[in-house]
Amino acid sequence: MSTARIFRIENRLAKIARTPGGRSIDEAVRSAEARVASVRDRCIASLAGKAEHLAGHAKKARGEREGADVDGMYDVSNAIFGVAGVYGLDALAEAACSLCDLVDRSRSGDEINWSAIDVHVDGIRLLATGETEGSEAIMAGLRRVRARFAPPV
Amino acid sequence: MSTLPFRRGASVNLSTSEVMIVAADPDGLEILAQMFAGFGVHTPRRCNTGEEAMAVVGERELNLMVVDSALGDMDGYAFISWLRRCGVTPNCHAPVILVTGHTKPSQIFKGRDAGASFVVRKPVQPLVMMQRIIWLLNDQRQFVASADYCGPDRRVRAMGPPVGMKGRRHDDLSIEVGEAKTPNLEQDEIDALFSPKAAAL
Repeated sequence: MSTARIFRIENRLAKIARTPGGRSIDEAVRSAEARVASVRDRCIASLAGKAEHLAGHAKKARGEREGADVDGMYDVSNAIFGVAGVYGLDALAEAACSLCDLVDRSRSGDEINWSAIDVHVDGIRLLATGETEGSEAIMAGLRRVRARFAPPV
Repeated sequence: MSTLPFRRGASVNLSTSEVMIVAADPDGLEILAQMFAGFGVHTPRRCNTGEEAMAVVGERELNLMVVDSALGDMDGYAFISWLRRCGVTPNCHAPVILVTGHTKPSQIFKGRDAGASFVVRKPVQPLVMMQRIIWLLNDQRQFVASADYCGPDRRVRAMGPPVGMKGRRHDDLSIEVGEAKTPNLEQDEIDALFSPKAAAL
């Protein structure tokens, strides 16, 4: 068994945060929510570009189990999930999270199913353009694909 | 607001704190930077890559790091592992919040074992991030440095060493309970300790 060195460290963040002044917790959270909302339009506008970027990685990664483009697919869908989720684009966030899961399974050694990935990428591209009319049908299709190729463990 | 583990009206002063945010996605970075600016952080330092973040660690004293799992040139886990062993004090001991979209248990364990102080699931909302910051303000865990782990004590709750293992700390108690060294107390002796008194109802 290795020898562990265990020691106390000063919590400098706590020391600074407890100095007089600052803002109330409620006010800080409200201010943060307002500032995050202030960049909403810009962030949402970039989602379509991210979806095209994702499609580019998927095209180049075809046939690979791992590599820069497989990682790229994971990273871009992870980014789409983060932005879409913050701004309440639930269908897009769910589709992106589902794709993360599919890609991660292939990186962990599972069989990669390109048809399932293609369906997700197409769905994400459509949802990222702001398409909301058919979003329920798209999500129902993606959930079926996911249930078949990547059932919850 | 009622879910915040803080007394109502309490204040937090992050205006002089040095916060570094690391994320490959520019929009994800912008959202986090706006959030921390809203919390009162004067100028959150933004980095797009692990390499850039490593340079900042060597340049200035940081009080909090918020690291996305995807950094472009490396993953967030590798950056945190590097940070914990880089030897740049006090930054290598600073709290790190890992932000990740994919929260399989294996990913959470990976983040914890890399040395993250806390893992926050995307999408990150300001209320959740503030709750985690407050948790970190009250964090009194010790720091552990060993051959296979470097970071805050992973035992968040004091439940003793893992089952079947001998503790490595001087204050870890043995799982074997020894024989009592004094006789058991009689009931009246126990009652005397609590000194019950008549109470008017």
